[in-house]
Amino acid sequence: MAFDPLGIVRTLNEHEVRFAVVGGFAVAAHGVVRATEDLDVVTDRGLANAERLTAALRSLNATASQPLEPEVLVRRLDLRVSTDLGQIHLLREVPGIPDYRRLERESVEVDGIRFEIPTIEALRQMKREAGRDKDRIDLAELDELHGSG
Amino acid sequence: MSQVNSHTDPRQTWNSPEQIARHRAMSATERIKLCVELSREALRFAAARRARR
Repeated sequence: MAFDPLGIVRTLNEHEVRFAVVGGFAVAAHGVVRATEDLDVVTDRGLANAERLTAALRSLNATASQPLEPEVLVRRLDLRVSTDLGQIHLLREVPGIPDYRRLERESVEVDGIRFEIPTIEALRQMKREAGRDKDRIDLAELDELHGSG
Repeated sequence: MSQVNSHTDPRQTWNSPEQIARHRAMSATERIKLCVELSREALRFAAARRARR
């Protein structure tokens, strides 16, 4: 199976899911390119958005350890989902991940596909709060690139 | 001892200030595309290792 994160983002956009791409792709957009095994996304917590997300995931033949239903997706999330286009890591209300509505975001377009990503300041704050080894490495590289702010 | 040329692949980044500088000069769009490519290669490598075991 080819990992196609652009295809995943396109599908979520087509279903009008309110989400932002975080993790490795956001870090890459802000200057630090490294490999990542999945597409990390933070989603709006509303039920209508969970319904749109459910439809998008079904169109990607998604499977996960929990049923992919709106009632499940609307709750606190840290859920890895396998799809035809690769792994998606759904994140909400976990350490280092702010509420989608409060997340300062900006847009990047890749091959006609719009990515919403955190601003550099929001991303750095997320990395500081998450505090895992890889977050500290990312933060050090972002600080070197953008200044330690 | 064989000579390892570590600076011919434009996607290679480790211990290479020139490559890091090149990534920094890219646009966000270009870096996301490069991240997709790198990630695919890493996943292929991981899958090949699993298959050999």
